[in-house]
Amino acid sequence: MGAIRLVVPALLIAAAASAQTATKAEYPPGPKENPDRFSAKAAFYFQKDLGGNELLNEDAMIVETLVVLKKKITQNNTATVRAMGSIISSASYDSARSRAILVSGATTTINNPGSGGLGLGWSYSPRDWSIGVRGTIGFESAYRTRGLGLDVSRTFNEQNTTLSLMLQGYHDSVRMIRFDGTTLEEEKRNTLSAEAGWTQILSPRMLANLTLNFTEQFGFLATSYGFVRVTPGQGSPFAYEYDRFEIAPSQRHRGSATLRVKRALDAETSVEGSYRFYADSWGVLGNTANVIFTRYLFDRVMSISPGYRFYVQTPAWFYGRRAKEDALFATSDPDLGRFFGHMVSLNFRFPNVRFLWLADYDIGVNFYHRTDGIEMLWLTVGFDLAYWPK
Amino acid sequence: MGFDLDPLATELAGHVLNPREGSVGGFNGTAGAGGCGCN
Repeated sequence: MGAIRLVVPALLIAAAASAQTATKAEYPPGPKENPDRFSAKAAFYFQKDLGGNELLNEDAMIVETLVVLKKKITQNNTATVRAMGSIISSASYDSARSRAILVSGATTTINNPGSGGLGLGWSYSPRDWSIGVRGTIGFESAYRTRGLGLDVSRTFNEQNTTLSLMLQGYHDSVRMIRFDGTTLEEEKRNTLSAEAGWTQILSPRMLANLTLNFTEQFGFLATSYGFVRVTPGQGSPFAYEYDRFEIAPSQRHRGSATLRVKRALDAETSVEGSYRFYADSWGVLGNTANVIFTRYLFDRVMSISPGYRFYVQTPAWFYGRRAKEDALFATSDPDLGRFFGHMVSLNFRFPNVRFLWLADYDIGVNFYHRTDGIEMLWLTVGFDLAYWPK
Repeated sequence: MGFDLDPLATELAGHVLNPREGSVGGFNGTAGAGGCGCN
């Protein structure tokens, strides 16, 4: 439901879904609690670089699909299969490829088949407990990942309180295809994440959640084909600026805290606000504020959710549009720079409609403006089947 | 009442921004530390 989704981890969604069954939370109705589910979503994403950094072209287009099958196997056991795939058209890939040919004359092996992934999960939910495990694999053109996750949650206080804990690990391989066509041995990237969530129904019309996350990463953390432009210093053998690889520290500690509060104004209307604070050992501090309004219309034939999201971050300590010649670490990745972001979103949902199938259909549009010259527009469409197809 | 009327749409939208603003993930929803091909 709108932009607040952008800071919500999967576990929180699960916790919130559990919480909404509580007797005290009445208005307005939340997501359906279908034990069996078949859902498909597609996102069409366009990114335009308006020249924030003249050395980089961040134009991109992505079409992504996500399909989820969820099936209750026995009274307490549920299996989930998730598949996703996307087609990515990115100027930075193209640039890396053309630069490699120009700079070195090498026939680079950079290609761009898109990305894909598969996830399998199992959850066991006796009474007030829920315990889940999941495994994932995924790929992008220069990147492979394998992940394992464990979720535990428990409800208390007549289901008005949900506490949850998630542990997640990833082991990734990064193909070292450099911007100049150099190909080196594959590097590894590891990620360990722990997340604790507390969801509390405060009154029949009010719900709150606090989520704390800590993530530790180590290994190769830069973009393999990223580059920075170097300004020669005094005594340099180079007379002109030149490019070199992006180099990032091999460790990153990351933490965030998110508070969400949702309140029903009446049986058809709700408003939600959230705030997220993020900090990491690279010097990036992020603050996100979000508000979203949801209202059912036409006797709940549809719901409409306009939202606004504000984001601001400080740059990583080794970020710069140019790097010094003696810098050990350097990046020009705008995502690690300083910028503000403003996003507006508008989402529509049509529950229980017989269109292709009897399902809930949704469509949304989001526009995001970053002050560093990057703009993004994306559309989402999808459905959730009310029942399994017979 | 829950937080997300449509958790999957929530997740999909999260693929776009989250990994670029300090969260772990990539365009690949199952991915780890951000193989994000957009950069």
